[in-house]
Amino acid sequence: MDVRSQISMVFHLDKCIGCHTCSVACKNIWTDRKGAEYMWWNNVETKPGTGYPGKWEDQEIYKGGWKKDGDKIYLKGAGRPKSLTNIFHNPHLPKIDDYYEPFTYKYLDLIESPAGDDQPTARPISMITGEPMDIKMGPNWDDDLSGSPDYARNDPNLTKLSPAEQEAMFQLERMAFFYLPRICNHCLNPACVAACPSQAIYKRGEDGVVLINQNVCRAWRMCVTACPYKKTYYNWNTGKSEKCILCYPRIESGHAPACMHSCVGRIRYLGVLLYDADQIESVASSDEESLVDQQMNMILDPFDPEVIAAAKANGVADSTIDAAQYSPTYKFVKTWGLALPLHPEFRTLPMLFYVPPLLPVMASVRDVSNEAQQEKLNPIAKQWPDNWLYDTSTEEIFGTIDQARFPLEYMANLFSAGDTSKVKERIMKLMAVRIYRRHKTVGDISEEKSNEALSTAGLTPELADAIYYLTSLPKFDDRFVIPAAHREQAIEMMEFTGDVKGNTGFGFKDKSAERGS
Amino acid sequence: MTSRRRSRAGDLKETLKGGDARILNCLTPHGKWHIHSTYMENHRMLTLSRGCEPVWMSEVDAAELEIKDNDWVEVYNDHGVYCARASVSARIPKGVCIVYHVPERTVGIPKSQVRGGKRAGGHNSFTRIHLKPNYLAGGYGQFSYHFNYWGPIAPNRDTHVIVKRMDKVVF
Ligand code: SF4
Ligand code: SF4
Repeated sequence: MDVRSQISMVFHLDKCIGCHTCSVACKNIWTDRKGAEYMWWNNVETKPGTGYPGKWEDQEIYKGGWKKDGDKIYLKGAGRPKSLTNIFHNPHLPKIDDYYEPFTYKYLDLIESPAGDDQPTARPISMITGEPMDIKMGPNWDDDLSGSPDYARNDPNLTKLSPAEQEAMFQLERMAFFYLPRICNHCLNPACVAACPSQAIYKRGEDGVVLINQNVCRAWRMCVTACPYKKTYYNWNTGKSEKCILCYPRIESGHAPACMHSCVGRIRYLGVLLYDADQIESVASSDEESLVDQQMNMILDPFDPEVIAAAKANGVADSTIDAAQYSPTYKFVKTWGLALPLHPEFRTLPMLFYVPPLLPVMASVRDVSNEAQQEKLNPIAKQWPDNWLYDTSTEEIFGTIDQARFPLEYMANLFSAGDTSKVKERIMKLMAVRIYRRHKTVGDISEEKSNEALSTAGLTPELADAIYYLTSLPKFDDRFVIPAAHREQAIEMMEFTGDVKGNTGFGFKDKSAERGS
Repeated sequence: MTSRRRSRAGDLKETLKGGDARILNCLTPHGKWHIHSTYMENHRMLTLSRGCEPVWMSEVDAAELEIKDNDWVEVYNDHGVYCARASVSARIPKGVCIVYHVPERTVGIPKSQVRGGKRAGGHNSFTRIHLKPNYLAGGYGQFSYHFNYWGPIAPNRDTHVIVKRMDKVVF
């Protein structure tokens, strides 16, 4: 057992309101620079949708992540041997138009236009060329189902659904969508690290943050192809690749990363997980069906004396072990079994977990006579002419999950490599907590029924209370449990981050591309 | 003109003289991430939307009007015109279009082709202030107008317009 510590994240999707405060916070701090205009280390997508860069999940196009071949796994598109053949041209690299051409406006025209009989307007211009441009793509282009025919309907996760199921998802007033905020997953088996021919990318020992050394990066861009989440970006100005640094200068001084600190929906949790690094290879190369379970298994119990002893022997600080015991992410991921990794089938073992959203699957649609609708719903509620019941109640325990208007298969394609039972298990828990709270607060559900819901979902009233607290009422210190940094481990702390602001915090010079400096 | 259309045409009397057209109900929902009318033109927020405040319309209407997603369109009636790009969405019901409150003509608004090549306005150029009968009650000075539109509240955010694909984009 090789126990290591990882700062991990949980995003509770039911709480995300799609406000993009996280994206703006990140942009303002880290990527408001020349060459980085198009980068959104944190971005928020509407699902169903094609996201940013367009169709990033489709590895037929981008060849990101790992593929299993026999007992072993190989990088899909950007392994070191392959990079020799693709050394001068890598056909799978996303192009600027796959992200978007960053734009601003010619504001000066508003005050400097010659007198005329019409008011001037500030035209869109490219931030790269300065020329007037047509805006055709943006980092949140398919926001709230905008452009549904071109974007939402082409979501790569829909391909496994039948045409009828797909069509049902886009029926007005029965449709649902949700937001998917994304940052680098700071994976345990990072494809970006494995793909780098210069060994510029590394995973920090003390907290597992994945970083690109700006002095070592040689602009191969293999990481851009290799990361299946498209979370490394190439800076055309500095000639180096960059990525989310999990705001490590903030973490080292005890602050939550800016995206998490600013999150309006308070959907984000941060905490330590202890894991067994000996298992990385076997877990990452296990069968698709067991990927999620195996990944859960390699996360260790921070209260287990054996784990603690092994952690100490490995030099994990006592304060980190303490933090692991209070970790909100450990609770969501392991104790309560509520969270899942995004696209585990990419095999990078992401350390960002998502609590799948309950709300889009709450309402069900199914064949029921109009009278039954009438009976079930408030008489003034809208009646559908086609015998479909639009049911958002929790009256029948778990009754709506299987006929959810948002097919579980879709959620499973996102969060469990297609295995609906994993998503269903978690959705049932979320629903059981809701039924339990309705029993407690509204009182129109009997204790018996509430207990039945809890026990079917594998919960107890105590667990439900704890889940409810950490979901709805947590304080800052409950959401972010950050271990004290140790100077001896993190020499970067000696640097005043203000001095290197605008340099992504780890010291590259803002000059034109410099090879081998 | 059917009676149903006539009833909608209060804002379209002159406009419809030009010929038959498809009339949509145009609504102004609360801005998604503006603070009322403010900050819509913030560079970050424009980047995180579509570089403008688009006109959202349903897939059905867009298909009938031969408008594709991101096409430039003109939204107009007797009161004025707004030029923007179309966002074709399954989220919008047939017969309705929306423009979020509140774009300004200072950022990226082209000249209107249906209104003599003049710069088009913001989304309020095609609205007018309607008084509802219940506004006549009271006596609280609710008809006094002040700077930045302090006056009767805004049922004018619900009007009828014609949406047409723009022939030529001129800035
Ligand atoms: S998400 Fe991508 S960039 Fe981040 S660690 Fe994983 S493979 Fe690397
Ligand atoms: S700030 Fe929080 S609630 Fe807002 S979009 Fe980001 S993750 Fe969602």
